[in-house]
Amino acid sequence: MKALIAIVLTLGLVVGALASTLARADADAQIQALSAQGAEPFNGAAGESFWQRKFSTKNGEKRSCSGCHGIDPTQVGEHQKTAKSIKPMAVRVNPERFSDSAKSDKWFGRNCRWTLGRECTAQEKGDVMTWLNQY
Amino acid sequence: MKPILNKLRYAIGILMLGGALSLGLYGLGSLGNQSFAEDDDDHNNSSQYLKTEGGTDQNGINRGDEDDYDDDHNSSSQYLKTEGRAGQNLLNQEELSTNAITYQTECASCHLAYPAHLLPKRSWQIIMATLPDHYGDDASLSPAVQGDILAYLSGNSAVNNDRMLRRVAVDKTPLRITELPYFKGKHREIPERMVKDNPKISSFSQCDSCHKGAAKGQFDEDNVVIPGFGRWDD
Ligand code: HEC
Ligand code: HEC
Ligand code: HEC
Repeated sequence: MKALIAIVLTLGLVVGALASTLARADADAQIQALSAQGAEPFNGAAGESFWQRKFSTKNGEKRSCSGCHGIDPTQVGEHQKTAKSIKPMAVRVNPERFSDSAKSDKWFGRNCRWTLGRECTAQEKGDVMTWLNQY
Repeated sequence: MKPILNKLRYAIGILMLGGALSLGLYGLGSLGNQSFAEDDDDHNNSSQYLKTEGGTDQNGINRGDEDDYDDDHNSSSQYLKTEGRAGQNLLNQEELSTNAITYQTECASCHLAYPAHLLPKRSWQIIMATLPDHYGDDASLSPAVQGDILAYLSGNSAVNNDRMLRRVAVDKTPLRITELPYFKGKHREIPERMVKDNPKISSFSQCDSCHKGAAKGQFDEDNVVIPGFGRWDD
């Protein structure tokens, strides 16, 4: 009887532990998930230059990721239109970053379309996340 | 804070899972040498335990949010004198609370979450249907989330005799609070140098730059501080 209880308890714990690991989608997990679609291995330096790069809209306005998030991702950013502050993007100073893949996908979508006028490629997203994860 | 909460949730989850599984199987295992009554008891206990746990948790969340909701409501009736929001009875409290949380989560990243009672339902409908081109920004959301937020906004929107809707024709759909005649009238006396030419404020759309209680729907004149200029006295 005791053995049975022990086995069952262990099983329960294992299942629970597995479930919690699966639910945790941190930067590593997201980078891992994207890596299959990247053309080449992700590169933090490429991510940084993408972050700072200025894209021109049709009417000549300059837009960049750093325009709202700032050049230094360990610092608080500021929305360039509404001036609302944006929490730092570097995972080291803001561990909440990339902890929810649905949230990351949503913002990659909006911000890439707004800044570049198109979706970001898997390579661009992977490079940026690699940079922000190791900064 | 959140990561800690999450970890706590996982920990509780694991404990409960383990507990439930072992209790359940213990019950089964002891069928042979124990009476049915006792076995039943065991089962009841374990499921009750699980239920109460869930219940407290949920109540906790609901209570917090209902407070918020009440706050909103009180302040709106206090300052904007409106009773009986359209559609409020269509959803039950729990759904309303969840939708209110969704609204707060999704619509407060780029500016404050504008109190719903500042615009009529027809305005919120258009705003929610045009999120990919949102005042020059991209605020796209999935259709499901969009629906939840619209339900919340419509249920708490401005109704016809609200101050906010003064001099707004019923066949007109205002798309900005800052363009409502009532809004303009109230802010007419504020000189340009305090807003447009003020590096500390980007535009009138940032209500919370001046109204400290804006996120809670409080806009009384006595609680206005203009950044760089101080308290407003007139
Ligand atoms: C117009 C302002 C603006 C620009 C430009 C912008 N962002 Fe953002 N971004 C935001 C805001 C606001 C948030 C949400 C704030 C928060 O989560 O604290 C955000 C969040 C994000 C997130 C979510 C991170 C997470 O927590 O998972 C990612 C990823 C992101 N941005 C990437 C980018 C990239 C890549 C670019 C450039 C292509 C970019 N952003 C340009 C405003 C902007
Ligand atoms: C990606 C950033 C972003 C998100 C997310 C966002 N907004 Fe906005 N919103 C803006 C910008 C930019 C403006 C224009 C501000 C200005 O003109 O200064 C704006 C303006 C508004 C206005 C008009 C304010 C006025 O001037 O009276 C309303 C109403 C509004 N947003 C509602 C919403 C709702 C509802 C949501 C959630 C579904 C939302 N917003 C999410 C960026 C955003
Ligand atoms: C630049 C600062 C500033 C900003 C930004 C601002 N307001 Fe005001 N608001 C004021 C001042 C000052 C008054 C008092 C004017 C007076 O009556 O003398 C006021 C008055 C009001 C009143 C009337 C209050 C009453 O009790 O009569 C309302 C309602 C209001 N504001 C709503 C808003 C909303 C909604 C927004 C955002 C969309 C906003 N305000 C943005 C400064 C501001």
